[in-house]
Amino acid sequence: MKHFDAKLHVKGKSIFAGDIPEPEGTLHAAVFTSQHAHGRILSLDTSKAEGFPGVIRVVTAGDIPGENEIGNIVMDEPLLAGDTVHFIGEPVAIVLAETRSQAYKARNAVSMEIEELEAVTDPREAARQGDLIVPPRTFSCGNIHKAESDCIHLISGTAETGGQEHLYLETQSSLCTPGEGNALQITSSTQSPSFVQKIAARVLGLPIHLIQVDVLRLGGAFGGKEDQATPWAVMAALGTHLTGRPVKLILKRHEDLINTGKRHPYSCDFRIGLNEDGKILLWEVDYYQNSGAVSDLSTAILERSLFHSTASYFIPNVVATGYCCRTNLAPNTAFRGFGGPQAMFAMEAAIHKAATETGLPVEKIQRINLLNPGDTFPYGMEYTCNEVRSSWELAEEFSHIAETRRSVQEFNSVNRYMKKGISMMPVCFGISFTTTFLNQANALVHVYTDGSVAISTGAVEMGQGVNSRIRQVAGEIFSIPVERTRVESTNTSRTANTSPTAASSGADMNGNAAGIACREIRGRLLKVAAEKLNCEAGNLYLKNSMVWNRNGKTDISWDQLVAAAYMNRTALSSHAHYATPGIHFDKKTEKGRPFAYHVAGTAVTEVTVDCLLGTYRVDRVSIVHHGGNQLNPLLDRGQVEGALLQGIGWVTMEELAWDEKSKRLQADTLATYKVPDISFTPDNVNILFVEGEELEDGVGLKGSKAIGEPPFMYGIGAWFAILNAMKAFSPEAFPGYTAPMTPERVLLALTEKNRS
Amino acid sequence: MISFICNNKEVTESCTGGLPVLDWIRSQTGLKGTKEGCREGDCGACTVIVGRPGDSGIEYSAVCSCLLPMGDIHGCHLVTIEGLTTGNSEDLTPFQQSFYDEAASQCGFCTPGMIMSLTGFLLGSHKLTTSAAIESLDGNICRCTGYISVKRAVENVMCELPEPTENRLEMLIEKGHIPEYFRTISVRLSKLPAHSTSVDGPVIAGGTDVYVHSSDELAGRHPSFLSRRDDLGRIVTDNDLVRIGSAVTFTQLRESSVITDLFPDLKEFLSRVSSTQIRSRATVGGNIVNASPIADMAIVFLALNASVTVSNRIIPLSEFYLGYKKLDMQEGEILTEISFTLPEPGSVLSSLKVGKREYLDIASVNSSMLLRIEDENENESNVILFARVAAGGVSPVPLLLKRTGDFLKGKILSENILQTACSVAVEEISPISDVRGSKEYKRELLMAQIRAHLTRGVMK
Repeated sequence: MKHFDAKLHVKGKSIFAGDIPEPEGTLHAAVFTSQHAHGRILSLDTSKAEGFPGVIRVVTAGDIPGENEIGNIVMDEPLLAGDTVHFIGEPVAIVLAETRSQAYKARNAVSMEIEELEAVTDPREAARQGDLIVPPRTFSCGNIHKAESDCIHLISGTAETGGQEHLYLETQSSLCTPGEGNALQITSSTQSPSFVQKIAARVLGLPIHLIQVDVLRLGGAFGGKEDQATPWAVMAALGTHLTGRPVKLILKRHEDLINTGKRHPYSCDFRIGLNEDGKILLWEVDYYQNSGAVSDLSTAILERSLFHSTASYFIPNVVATGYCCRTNLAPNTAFRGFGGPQAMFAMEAAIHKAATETGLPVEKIQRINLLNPGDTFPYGMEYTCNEVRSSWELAEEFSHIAETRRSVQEFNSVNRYMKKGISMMPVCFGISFTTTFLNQANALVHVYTDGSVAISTGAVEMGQGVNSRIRQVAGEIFSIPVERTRVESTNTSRTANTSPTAASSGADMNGNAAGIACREIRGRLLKVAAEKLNCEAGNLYLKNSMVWNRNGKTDISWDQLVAAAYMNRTALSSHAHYATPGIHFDKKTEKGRPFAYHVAGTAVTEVTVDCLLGTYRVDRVSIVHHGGNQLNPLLDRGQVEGALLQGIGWVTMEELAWDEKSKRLQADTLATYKVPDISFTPDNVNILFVEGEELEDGVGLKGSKAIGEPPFMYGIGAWFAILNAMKAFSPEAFPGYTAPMTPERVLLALTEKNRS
Repeated sequence: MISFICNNKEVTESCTGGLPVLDWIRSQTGLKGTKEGCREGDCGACTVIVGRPGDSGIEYSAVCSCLLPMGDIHGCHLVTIEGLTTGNSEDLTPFQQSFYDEAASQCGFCTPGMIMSLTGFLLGSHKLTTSAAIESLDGNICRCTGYISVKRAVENVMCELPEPTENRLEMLIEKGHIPEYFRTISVRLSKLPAHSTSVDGPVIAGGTDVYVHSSDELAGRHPSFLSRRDDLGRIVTDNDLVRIGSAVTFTQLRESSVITDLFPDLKEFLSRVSSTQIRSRATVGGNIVNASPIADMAIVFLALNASVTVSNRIIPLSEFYLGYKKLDMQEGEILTEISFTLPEPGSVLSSLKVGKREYLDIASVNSSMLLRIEDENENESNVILFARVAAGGVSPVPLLLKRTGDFLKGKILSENILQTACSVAVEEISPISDVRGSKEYKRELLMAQIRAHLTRGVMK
């Protein structure tokens, strides 16, 4: 099985939003944004820009016919700033011109006077000032006060994780074309077509049915186009609504880096309590999430941090509290892992610190605290399988851990500056949107009279291969070659009220919806066949493009069956709805069963650090991943590999920094924001997929498990492996539990004693 | 008018010579496979292949079309992803097929650029090894795959490739890497009309820096191109003087036997200067006059005590930089040559750069050291006869660390001397904290590099 989309990709024939031929009369939009982190708008002058050649109109907040509000969970985000600006890059005005370069030239002539207000970028400072987006939330279990007395070791500390730029290769792109009356069609590079549709309707003051959103594919997203594709798509729609002309809005890379939010930086305080053997009895943690200027998805992301506060471990007494801290940065947003990685880093940091202070080996503490079947998470859900522990044990074997440890020790004893380090990173990640109502999907399947099949779902193809999986489902149910199926663009007129393609659940949910629709059509077709063959439909089935009965192949082919059904006036289309079964969560008690299932695995990472220059290489990563009964092993492998490197990037070279005074993002080009390249990729990445637990019916996709996000967190292991290598050079070297571990952080930690 | 062949079609355009080739390509119907990812040469999504008539037939190389001016492809063969195959959708080149088989293309946005880099590598590289093929992707960023499936896809193709033959083009046509029309290009290029564009813009060498920040402005101008001046594109040894034309590209420099015979380690260092696509365009002269305090070649040439030729003035490089981005050069002057005297036999050049990422990154600190050690002495206590050190990222200009070099002269290497040399070096510098690192880090990193030059670069 392949990633079918790639056949067009390799020839450069795939169509992305920016590749669509511009309709006649298309205007190009350039967005004027705030250059101040916080301030009151004293005046906004667009008159000069309006006089520039080619400029048709400059749109500001006052031109919005409906509500100037694009918030989703919390209503706190204007499309265009009205009287105040809250972050650098906040949209203020849209310049519409005949050509793109005219639009950008005129945009540079818009001017704005600002009365500067105090800008905050530190989440703890925001919390001190009481500037929280929502009240703090706490997940707890057991009794930590009682547990304290049982603890031999009580260790406190802090952990910090940096943000991360998505760096989807395709920048935010949209094209809006006018239809009849007030109707509009928006092509947007969004993970959430229905959300773009809803917000466009709200901003334009129109009913939702007048807006059609269409998405063919995205050039990468990783969460960065879940909420943050919306403003640009809605701006294009606003431009079309006001001028009656098509409007194209494509962000330049520099704008995309400055204007859009990123993974949330977190600052955490923790306290971990252990008994003599290293069993963790107590876990107390405060997450200060740097939410940025508006809520975006921050509250949901913080919620997932709380769900994953104990990572892959069972801890009986827990208090985890999260604060969504409003700061004057671009609104931070969804990114693969969605708050999970930040929480897991804090947990691993605490264990590492506990090991350092107690003298117990890190792996021992990790190992004895791994989740066992029957353990209960702080949110009340029971862990029913044994995948965490079994993946750990298999990973030890798969990576030849004992031998590796020996060879690392030997290497370290004969090299002065070059030091190797290893780490083990277990991952346990819950699958489902933690916002329960989002766990629904729908699909529309047409079988055409020639026997070809077209499927529409709410899933957005962004490289993960969801369309290939859906085609496999349809191909199997109809028992026809996958080539005879096609997944259409994601379109709000064909599938309505869809959830974002996110939370790793796109294939599970939309694949199941497509499956229900295909089975419905298959049932009708077999009835037609039964009539023709004069037998019971229950005795018939489809196999290799033919109708079969108990005695073997009949004379009726798939094509003939479809043609007969049509002549017989049988419906060859079906629409189906899927809702993930068995999930619920009560936000009052913070207890429930929020996840359909968990995905688990363990990574063993080996690195070499040049302790003279402070540079490092990841040599080898061995992963044991419980992926269920794999539907498409090629796609699964690609997801694990890609997520791993993104995770390693997050904890090593990917560093976001903001200028202290101006609060401007410093890493605002690809020359300054570095992501892993081909030379950084470890030479050895070995992945062992293990089937593991059997899923309940209707959960997962045909027995396979979701795979988008969980492997991201394997990358965290690189941070600890580097630290361990540094400690082999200088046991007192300590860079703080702060990610990313840039070469600067490494060298400064290794040379600190020389300076002090 | 600008005349060239785009894929299999002769084109004559009246556009400005400064227009980036990427913009021209994307304005053409049916050529949307070349993607805009960053417009600063840092992602490779816009990679195309340019074939330029040279001494030994058409010389092809992969370049970033976002940094490539239209005026500079006059008389050339421009190949986009669409030019690698005929219209038939089943018709894939071996790299395309292998990427498909390995799912080495996920979202697909970076893929055409990767295929172009690899095909450009096959057309232009001297050696055709798997590791060299993987290195040719040093300028292509992919955010989906983690490159692991990409490496597998490349390996699959490279192990099927025959040994390089005399007629590379025929071999690649036979293996399906390029279509048959490539055979006709040489003759067709010679029949293109002469260049007739007027010039009203600045002089551009490789353009790989100026196009990063001034693309919009240059798009409307008609610059003149140093790449058109054959006299500036040569590396020659003139008695004991090595003379490098200012329009020599980093690729030329890296492949020049004059340079690599003298300084075998420089080849590795040069592989860390930008990327394959950019090295094909970026010039040595451009790197010097750009006057970045962290210019990779400037520190090497400072260590070599090189001079630059500007309007027949020969100026020691150490005196050429007057201040941050200030040169001893007037508006309208052109730097034509960099020259240095052959170092004494036995001299070793060691060059280092450290940034966040090993490849295609700008260094936090880079440095270069030319060193000669007494060679009769077989035991450990070798005397340093000569040392010259330069560093970047530690002052407003690429800096010659004169006192550090002087200090090392006549010393026998010991822990104590290493420490003192580091202390002398940090006394000479004035780093600032910026996006490339704090000043504390830059100080430590320079000291570490000096230590590395002396203990690794020389005394291996």
